[in-house]
Amino acid sequence: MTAEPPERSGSSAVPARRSDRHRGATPGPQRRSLLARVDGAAVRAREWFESVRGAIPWAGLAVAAGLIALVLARGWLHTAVASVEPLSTWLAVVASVCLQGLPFLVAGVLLSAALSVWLLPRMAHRLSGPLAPDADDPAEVPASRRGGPLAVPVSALAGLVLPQTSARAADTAAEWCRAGVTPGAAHAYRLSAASANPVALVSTAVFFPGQPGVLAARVGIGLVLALLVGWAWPVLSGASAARAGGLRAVPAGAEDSAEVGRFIDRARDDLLRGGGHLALAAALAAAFSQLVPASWLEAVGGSTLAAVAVAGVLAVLGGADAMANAVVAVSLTRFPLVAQLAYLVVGPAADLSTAVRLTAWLGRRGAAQVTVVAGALAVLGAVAAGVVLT
Amino acid sequence: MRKSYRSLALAVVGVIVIASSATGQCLTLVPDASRWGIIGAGVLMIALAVVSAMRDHHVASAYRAVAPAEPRLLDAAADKATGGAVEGAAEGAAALSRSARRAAAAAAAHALPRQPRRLRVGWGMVVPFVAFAALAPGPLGAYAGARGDGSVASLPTGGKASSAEQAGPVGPLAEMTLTAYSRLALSASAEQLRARTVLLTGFVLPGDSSTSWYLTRLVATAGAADARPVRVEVRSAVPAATGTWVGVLGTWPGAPGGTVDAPLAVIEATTVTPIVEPGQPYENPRP
Repeated sequence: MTAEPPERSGSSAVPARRSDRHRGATPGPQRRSLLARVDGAAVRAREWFESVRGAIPWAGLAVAAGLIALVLARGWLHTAVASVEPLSTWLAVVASVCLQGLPFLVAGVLLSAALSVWLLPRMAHRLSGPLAPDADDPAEVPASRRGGPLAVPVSALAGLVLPQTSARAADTAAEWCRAGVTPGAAHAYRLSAASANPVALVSTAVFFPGQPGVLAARVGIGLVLALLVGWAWPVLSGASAARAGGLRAVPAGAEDSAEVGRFIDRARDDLLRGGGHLALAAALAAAFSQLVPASWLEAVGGSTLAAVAVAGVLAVLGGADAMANAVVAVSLTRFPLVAQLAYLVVGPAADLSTAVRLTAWLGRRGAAQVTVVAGALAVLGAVAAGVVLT
Repeated sequence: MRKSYRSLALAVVGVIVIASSATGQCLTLVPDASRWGIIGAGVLMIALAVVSAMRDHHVASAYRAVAPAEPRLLDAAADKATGGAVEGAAEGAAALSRSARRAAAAAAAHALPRQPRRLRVGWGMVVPFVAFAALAPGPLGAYAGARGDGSVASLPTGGKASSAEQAGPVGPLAEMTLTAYSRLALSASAEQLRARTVLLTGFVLPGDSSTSWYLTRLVATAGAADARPVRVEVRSAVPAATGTWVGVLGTWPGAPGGTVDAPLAVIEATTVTPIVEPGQPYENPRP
């Protein structure tokens, strides 16, 4: 980190003027050299100060100072927070959810980033299947000729074994479309990878112990949702299907050109993004179960439909990735199982942050359409599974 | 969130989770079994933070080498890295690794910012962990215990006694969990409890009448995250202070309490003794 050039040139302009003035005022050669030396030292000191000032990461220091202040005031803060019971309870639940979601999030994000760099781009060629040999642009080939009738089910099944965060899966799907995969298959992959991937299934088994029905429902709903959206895609959005190959989710050259570099960047950014959304989802869910007046909770928890609706809204707003959202779902302790199931499946299929990310690829209308359809199907699936399970 | 802060944020969270697992601070909030997973996640996060910071440094040096004319832009290379097509890229970057050189050249050629997306939500990850480290919230207590109806039927495993629980305790004096006692006392096999003295432990919540209060325990499989209260009505002439941990020796009176919707088990206390709060305050619904 060095000083910014304008500052440096500014500071070097000042000594030139000063030494001119000195030269005119003090003619004695010895005095001049002494003064010049002092002046030179002052200038150097000033330059050094300028360069140091430019190099100091002020925001970083502010964060560090804040952290130190927090550590020093820890005892006092602990007592102050512990005396406000709703606040300390809320904080304890949020911390507990974040801590327990973290291992699954880290594992899922690392796998997701690695797959998105090393495996998934190569799969696109297989899935796009026999292209018309004379077509330069894959988007010009009719969707029916790309990948054949198995493209949608194969990509939906691929999602069940390849974990991806929902944001990264959206990027992969966009990339596949540019490589010639039919948009239906790309969406089928995106939805099943984001909602029923292996890491998500392991975390569901951990946080819903002894309830294999929840696990089965998660797999079933994820797969059916992916297949339905995949098959319905051409019908569903005539206009946006035509555009689907055209837009780039990530501008060319915006990412590291080396594979290792891309993996590192994606892993870090997805982990921070996933962690941020996990924290947001945990905070919303804990606020709902710990801070909302008990009488409201009775009213919502008592009616299955209201509970499913509230869980769906919390899932859409929070946007926790499927790998970590099981622990958020179990923290909705006052909700019936069907609402927790809705939380599990609605979030990855239709959360707000993924919808926003999809707009870069599908445009506003296309993103809203596919998100609303996927969300509605997920809610229906959760209610159906809830009827079967209870 | 600037790129250098992204690595820093990961490292901070990693250090916090490892420290809290190592010191046992997090064990009042999460089950013991999740401890190793949390430590592993912390180690991976720190490793990723170190590797990504090194990578940023590497790429930034490559930018500096390929575009000496634009030092100001290059200083921000790790952050924004607006390259700008610059000549002499190959010689300048000769000393750097192949991948770093390619990354720098690609960004320079496209004159596009690397990582254009903002990552404000990334701060959201840091906040709860720093708050957790600084504020050190203790285990859930009376506030969480008073929310919910306190019946075993509200647990995910339900209020039905398992066959092992229906068999009842062995011997005239038995220590039982609140869950097991409630399930048995509210089941058809409640007669098992006759002529037995039972020891229950939990914390005190105030009752509706002067001669009764509630013994409460939070039941959880995922620590504080999914803790639900289970309450047993204690009939005792001796009042107890709200929130204190006590052991209650008593007998089953033969009839349930609570409401029709949410029946609660009742114990007739013979002695009530203050105890130390257990290290793992949550009761497992499946002992």
